[in-house]
Amino acid sequence: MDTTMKLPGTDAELVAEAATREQISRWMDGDIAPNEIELAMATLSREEGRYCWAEMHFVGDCIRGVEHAPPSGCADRIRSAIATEPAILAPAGKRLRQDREIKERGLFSAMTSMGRGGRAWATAAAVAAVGFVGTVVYKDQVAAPQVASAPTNPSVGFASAAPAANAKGNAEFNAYLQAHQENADVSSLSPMRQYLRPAVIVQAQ
Amino acid sequence: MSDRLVDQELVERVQAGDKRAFDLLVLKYQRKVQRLVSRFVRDSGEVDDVVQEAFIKAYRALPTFRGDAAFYTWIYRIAINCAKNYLASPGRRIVPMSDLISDDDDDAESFDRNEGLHDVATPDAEYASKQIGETVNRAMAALPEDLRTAVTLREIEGLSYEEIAEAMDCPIGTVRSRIFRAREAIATELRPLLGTRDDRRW
Repeated sequence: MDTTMKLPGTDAELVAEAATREQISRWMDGDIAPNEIELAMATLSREEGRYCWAEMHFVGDCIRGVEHAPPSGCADRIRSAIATEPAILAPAGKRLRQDREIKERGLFSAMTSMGRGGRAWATAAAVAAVGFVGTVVYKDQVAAPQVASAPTNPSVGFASAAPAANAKGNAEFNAYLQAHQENADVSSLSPMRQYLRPAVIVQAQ
Repeated sequence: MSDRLVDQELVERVQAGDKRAFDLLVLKYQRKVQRLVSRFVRDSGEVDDVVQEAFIKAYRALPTFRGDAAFYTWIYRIAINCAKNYLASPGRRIVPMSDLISDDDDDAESFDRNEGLHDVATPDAEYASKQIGETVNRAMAALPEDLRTAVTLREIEGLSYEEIAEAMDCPIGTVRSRIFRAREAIATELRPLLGTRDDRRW
């Protein structure tokens, strides 16, 4: 028996301490229910809890052979140094984890767990997304006939430079271009459209 | 909740302003980080300085920690960078691996035995380490078979409580109790070597 350590005064205190240490033992192994987390943090924030946490991890490291050297006080020095640092207020981690969980659970269950307000926001976001996509598609559908009729436009180099022998090739190319516009993500190509004609001229020559 | 999720919970608490949670992470990982750093830095005092710097840098960088990787791999990476920066700083030199292996050790396995803090420990520290190692081995050997099996499956094999319960064909509550009792028995033997609880240092 270790005679150098202070012992609590009563049997009740001994039992309570043993129960607390047993809790810490399983908490450090991840055997903890979500509703116990606050209790665990409160317990571990006390000096006795912190000591027990450190001691249990030290025992584990010794069993694994990670360390047999006595504690050097390094953690205490780090704690003192961290005490002078400003507290972090960036709960990004929790938000990111929740986002990941939402993806994993699927949209439906996520909306269920978000409640009425969350469902309303999700619905609004979905409507906005559909509206945006619809606008882009409509814009491109309007733009598509211009591309199809482009060879007849005298201002366009391809049409003026192409002899009759190339007419079949032009028609095939325009058909391909139109099909591409109808099926591909043309919105991402919109800024590039101005460069399509010169490229065709090089091909035709 | 797995071990990694415990870390993630602590990280999120630090990110929400709880410095005590970071202290718990330090207490959990400081020895592993020390061991890692000691592969690069020989002097034990300098090892502690680098370890401290690594944890402080980790604390400052925690707002950017997304949890994609485990906390321990993240802190290990920071510690390695700190150790390399430390060695590259003016007046320092990178210690070749050959210098870390003594002349009479010519096989690769001997590096594992001699690496780290033990290389540069003072005779007193070396004696204390030896005592602790022997005490742990003796305490493990003295444990009842079921306690020793439970704590070995947990600490060395890394099994969860559910897996241990299945392996040992007993209720999970029994596993909790056995692991705790095993740890307590070893801790009780170790306490006299670690100083009194009034002189606690970690």
